[in-house]
Amino acid sequence: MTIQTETDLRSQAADSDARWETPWPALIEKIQTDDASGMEELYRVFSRGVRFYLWRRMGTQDLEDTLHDTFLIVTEAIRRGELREPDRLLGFIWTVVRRQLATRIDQTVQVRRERADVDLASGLLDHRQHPELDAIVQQRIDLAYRVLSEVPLRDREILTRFYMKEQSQGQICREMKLSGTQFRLLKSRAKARFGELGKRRLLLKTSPDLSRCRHV
Amino acid sequence: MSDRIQHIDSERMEQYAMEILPEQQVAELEQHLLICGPCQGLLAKTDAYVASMRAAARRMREEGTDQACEAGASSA
Repeated sequence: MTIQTETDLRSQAADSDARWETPWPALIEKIQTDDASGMEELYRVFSRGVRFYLWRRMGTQDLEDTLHDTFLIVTEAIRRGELREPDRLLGFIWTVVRRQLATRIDQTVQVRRERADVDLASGLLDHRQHPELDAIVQQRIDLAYRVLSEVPLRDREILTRFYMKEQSQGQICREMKLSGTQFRLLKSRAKARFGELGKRRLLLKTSPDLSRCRHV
Repeated sequence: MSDRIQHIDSERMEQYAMEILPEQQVAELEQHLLICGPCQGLLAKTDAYVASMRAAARRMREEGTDQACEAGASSA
């Protein structure tokens, strides 16, 4: 089994644009009649999304097994006629995925408890196994730090309250005397600056001539 | 079923990433995410952005460079 990194999964998610040709009822019928093309289409339409959903919550550990189990449960349930309203296929798959995720997390927690290891986060998100990911994360934090350093103090306070202190938009707007539009605009400008700095950094890496310029 | 997809706007996506999206909207959004590559991409970027801002703000606090924030927060 190939272990996919966070970067792989992120880029796959960004590249994928699931298209489906068969309406859900026809797709369900194909699966119920053991038409292999039905299974293929189900997997093609949903595998990236389900994989991404699971990875976001449980990391790469047991990801492929959980994905496989999810499709197995979905197809068996469809064959048994448990999906009575074919138009609700999306909701049905979502429910199965959530249950599978909850089961996996329970199992992980149980295993951790048995091992008397309270560091749950490291079990669910195995980032430490990928030092290159740590470097990417650190670069992003540096960019965010630069964004926060550049903005006026008042704007920094607003962004800090929202992202770090997790204060609600309502509370921040009330206490900082801001309108909702001003709040959204400030956040949007900060995000745009973050994206701009990220692109410049990427450009520096790919253009050796630019890397000599100090003020890019 | 339509092939036309209404994508998730960045504001709602950020609320979802920060787990502050109202519960009744989560199901619809997550189901859309299961089949929409561009929105999966947007969520991945939003997750990274939110985590980076959070970590950067925390670092600033540790370094004491967010003094204005603290002063403002305590006066509020």
